Amino acid sequence: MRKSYCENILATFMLVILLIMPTDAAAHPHVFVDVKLRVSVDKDGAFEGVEVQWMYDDFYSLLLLTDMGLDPDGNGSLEDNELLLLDGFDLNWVEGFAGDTIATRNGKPVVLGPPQRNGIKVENGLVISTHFRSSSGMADGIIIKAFDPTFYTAYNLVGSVIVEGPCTAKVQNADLDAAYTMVEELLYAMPASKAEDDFPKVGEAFADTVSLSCVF
Amino acid sequence: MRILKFAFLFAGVVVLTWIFGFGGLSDVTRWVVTEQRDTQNALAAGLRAVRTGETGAWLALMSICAAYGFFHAVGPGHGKLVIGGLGFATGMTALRLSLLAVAASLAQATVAIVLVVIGAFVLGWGLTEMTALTEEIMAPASYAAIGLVGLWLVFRGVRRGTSTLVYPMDSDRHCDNCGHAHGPSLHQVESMTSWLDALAIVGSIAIRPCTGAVFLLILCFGFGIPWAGIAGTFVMGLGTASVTLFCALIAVTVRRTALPSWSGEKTIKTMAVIEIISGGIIAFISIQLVLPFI
Repeated sequence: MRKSYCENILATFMLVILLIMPTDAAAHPHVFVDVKLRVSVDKDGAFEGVEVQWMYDDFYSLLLLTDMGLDPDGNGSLEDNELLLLDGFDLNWVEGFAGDTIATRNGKPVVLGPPQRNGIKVENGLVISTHFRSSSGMADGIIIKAFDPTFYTAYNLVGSVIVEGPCTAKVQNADLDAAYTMVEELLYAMPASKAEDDFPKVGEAFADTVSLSCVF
Repeated sequence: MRILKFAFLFAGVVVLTWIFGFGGLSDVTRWVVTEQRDTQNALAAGLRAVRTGETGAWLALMSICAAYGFFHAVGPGHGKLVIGGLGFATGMTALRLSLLAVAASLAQATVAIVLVVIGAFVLGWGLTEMTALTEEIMAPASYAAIGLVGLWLVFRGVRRGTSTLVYPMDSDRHCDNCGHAHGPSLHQVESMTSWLDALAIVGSIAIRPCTGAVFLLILCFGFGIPWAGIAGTFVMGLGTASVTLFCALIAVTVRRTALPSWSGEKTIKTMAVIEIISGGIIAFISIQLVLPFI
């Protein structure tokens, strides 16, 4: 009798947990991109901008090339005239698209200019595109993050961040536990309208943080 | 037997508490995202092998597709919420719910195939147009439809929870207001047999084709190996179904274990409450997901 009572409690508990489990809340990525950042700072410590290199995963690269009818022989490298067709394919940004790279200073957004093409190549079938975004203001205290708020694309910061100029960049890896906790809180402890406004911050929570510090 | 069952339940509670309460979910998700990335790249290699006609490439591609479907489905979406929720809410049999889960996954695969065939061959669409349609129109449409399924569960719960009280019966126990039934029997409350219901549920999940499948199909059509794409899409669907199936079985098992010791009218009431809560959660989450698109 007692045992069945326990079972009952356990099963009910399990049922409650399963019911409130946020399995369908978080998004899942379809495109994986390795990001490399290179920061430009002038000799006086002014932030000139950031160069962003995106390397697409093998599957998505193959898809891009196939969709555009490039590399029909499938040897994983493109002719120069094919590269011309591919160049800038990911830089036609619609209005409101922040470019998946953001900069802040003291918590306030720092404007990054429109993307300037800075090279396209295909290596071993992987599409690698580079663009530069100019900016202004002092470099010290700038925070840069690369992420897609919707997590449709999973950006992964690779390598160390190179700084051209008299500053250094420190990379702080994302606290993923905190990020997932945030997703849960947003979805379960907040009115829908507010959650919607705050949702972009979730993508940000998954991103590594690059912070610049300058010493003269 | 008793002890076994008790141990199973206890283990389940421990695992779920870990997943939900102690960061286990982020571990699982991190693992899934890593695996998905690896599977996605394996898919690229598999496709190249099929294109060059290597022996055994077909079989390899199909197993990668199954893995892709599985890992993709462990992530969000793909009807786990609906199928799991139904398992709790409606007391469908494990078999029926499993059939529904498999049907939903295969229907989802079919939608992807129809979309890409029409898009590529009739409308001359490319990757951009098809991705936009999938993510910006069909995905929110699916969320909305799933939300309706949730609301419908709430409605059912409310109706059934109150129906034992509200219908007056005359002396020969006939009731003019309750249609054919003298209040719902346990069996009636538990059954959800209508084909229309099933169709609505399968449809709500299937409206949204898996973007991964759309990618695979575009690639295979571009490579001139359409049958590999179509077969691969269905195999992906089966990989996905393995996860929803698992959710279905857990939901049914937990429900069956939790409920029988409550009896009679109380059980009917409890089930109505569970139905309302499950439906409410399904509706709530779906509305959250659909809001950014409005």
